[in-house]
Amino acid sequence: MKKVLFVLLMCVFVASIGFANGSKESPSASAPVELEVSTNSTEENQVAFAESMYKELINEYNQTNGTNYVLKFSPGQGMDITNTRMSSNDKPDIFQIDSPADVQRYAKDNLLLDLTPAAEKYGWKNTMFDWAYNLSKVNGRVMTLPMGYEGIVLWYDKTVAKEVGVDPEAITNKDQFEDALKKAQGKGYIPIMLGSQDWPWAQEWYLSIMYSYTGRDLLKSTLEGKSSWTDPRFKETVDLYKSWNEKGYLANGKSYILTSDDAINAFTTHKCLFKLEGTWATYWINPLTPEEQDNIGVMLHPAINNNEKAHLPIAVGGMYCASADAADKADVIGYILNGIMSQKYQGKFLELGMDVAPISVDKSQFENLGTTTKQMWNMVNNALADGAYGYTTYAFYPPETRVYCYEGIVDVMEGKITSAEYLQKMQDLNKKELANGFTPVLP
Amino acid sequence: MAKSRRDDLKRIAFFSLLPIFLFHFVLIVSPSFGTIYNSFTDWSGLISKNFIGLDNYKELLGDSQFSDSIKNNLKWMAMFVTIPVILSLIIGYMLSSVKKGRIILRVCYFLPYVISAAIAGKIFAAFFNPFLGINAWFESVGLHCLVKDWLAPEHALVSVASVDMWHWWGFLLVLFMSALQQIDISLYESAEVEGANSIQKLWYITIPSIQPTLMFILLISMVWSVSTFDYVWVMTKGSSGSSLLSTMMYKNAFFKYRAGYACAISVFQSCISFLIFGVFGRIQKKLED
Repeated sequence: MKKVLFVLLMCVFVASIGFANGSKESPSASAPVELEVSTNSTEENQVAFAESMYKELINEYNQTNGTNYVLKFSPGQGMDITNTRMSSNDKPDIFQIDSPADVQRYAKDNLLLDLTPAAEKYGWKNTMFDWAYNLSKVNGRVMTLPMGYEGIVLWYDKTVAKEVGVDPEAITNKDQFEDALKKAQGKGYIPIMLGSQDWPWAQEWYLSIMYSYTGRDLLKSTLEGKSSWTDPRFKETVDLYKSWNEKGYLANGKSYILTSDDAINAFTTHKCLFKLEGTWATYWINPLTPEEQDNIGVMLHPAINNNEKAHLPIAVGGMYCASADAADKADVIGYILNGIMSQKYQGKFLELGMDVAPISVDKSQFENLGTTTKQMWNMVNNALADGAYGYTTYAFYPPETRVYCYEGIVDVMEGKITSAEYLQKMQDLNKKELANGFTPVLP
Repeated sequence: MAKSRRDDLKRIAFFSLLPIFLFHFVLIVSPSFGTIYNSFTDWSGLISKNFIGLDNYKELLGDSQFSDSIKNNLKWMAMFVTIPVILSLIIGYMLSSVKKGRIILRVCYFLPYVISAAIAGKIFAAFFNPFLGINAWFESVGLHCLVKDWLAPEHALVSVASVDMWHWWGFLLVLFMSALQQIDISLYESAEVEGANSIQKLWYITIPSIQPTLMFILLISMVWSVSTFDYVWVMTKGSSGSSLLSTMMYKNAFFKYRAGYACAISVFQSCISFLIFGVFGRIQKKLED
């Protein structure tokens, strides 16, 4: 009997662990109230800075309003974790998602806090760039805050360029570009380095350039369903990309076998002329010595045809959102999101290779930056000011089309499918996703 | 008195198993029913979902990536029920007759199993670097025929599987060695008297004696081959040539936002596992009879 009682008690104990649920703190003037901010950052310095920034903002709000919010900071939470949490009862209060397209999915399920009151209170319409403010709206309401902007650029090694006899920034067209690549190859250098084995999205960085450079208006109307991926101009682009791979220009034909770390190592050890990556590359450039930093140059990718001039395929780095379940914390959330856009943090964002807010950043914030990083941001801001921007895959394409875009291209390069078959599949997927309710959000 | 004692023991057994059964039922079995239901919906992974009947399954049957993934899983299974099993059995058999240093050797062989897939996968990805890594060594010693793009689509599956086998076989070795130690030594002595050689002893005494362990190892090798994910994801992200059911499921759920479709893949995976369990159950019953 005693044994049976003991076992029954164990059952109850285990069941209570299984069903235990932490009690939600009820807000009061003095009891601490947890405010959770989750982020997808994993870089140590970025995580440390982000945490200190949120703590500072929350402390400021507490001091002004007599509240007692306490930060719970959750880094390293990518879309897979965020999706899971947002469909559970364990939603973070402020979180990041990848693209404007993702915002629609969340808004459709009423998961997002309406930030329009905060936008009106703090005048975000006048603070942010117009294109960024437009991206923040769903059905006329501000539902998200673009995290920052980034673009795909071409980095180059000045020492290697000199040895090869090439002036990268003087290259303006495809023929000159291919000539430079051939010279680099002839001297034993890898013409363009990129590695997508462990980060397949690296392949789509280059495809963002290639498809945007095919024609921005064509790309925009294709994503909107008005034109088609089977347009001959896209085929010409895919064939060009395939030919570059066959000639060994793209990481000696091994771009999808090399990891992203391999690519960075090869570039920083002077094995390559060009490295394809985005403006966020400063996160691995800034820790280099000043001499090594000065040896790295940056430029817009040259034009690949006569249709489209060189421009910057942009993305927003991600979107800040707040959970609809955090409606009782709307005021502090608005304060925090507004605070992230303040000038005082932008310089640190730039230093750490984080996305800068989509605002006109004061020049003083650039003072502590290395020469290369300053040059890059000048180039980016000039491109944006001139309207010379295009569309990256990960910010603007429908999700299935996007995934096929960077997976299918490997099959094209391997000769398993033709470029026509690849583009037909892109078109089929794009059409299907538009029919299923995907709404392109394109500036 | 004996009956009452037996009843007591049965009650104790029942209530001892009850907690873990409840735990398993609540955390694994019940959500599985949710997965089955979701496989009939267009769930994106968030909240809303609409019932769409068999559409996901119909799409699966026509999806070329699905058929490629199944083929890759079958190739993976074929590798895992042969190479590590045979290797660990032979090494275990040889090791069981080693008197000095057996424990140290066993620890060395088991060590890869305790290294996490994320770390080992990254290390081996560096080994497979086409410019550096093992290719550089092959070049330096003149083995040019072995200089290959090991993680290129045509080799990726075998390369990744070989890393997972390096990780896995030590575990099988320990299982086999435990089973081998249970065998009655007098059987071997009798066989020696009869004039049996090592291979005959292995075939007629060792393997039949460890048959339950062998069947268990084959079963888990097959079932885990169906659901394997970690090494492939770390090393290739399930890209062309190494796509498996689990990587396809993950991408559909978290990159394409087609969680309903991913659930359909998961249900299919589970059906394969149940089929394997069922077949093994029948085989074991026949062998016992």
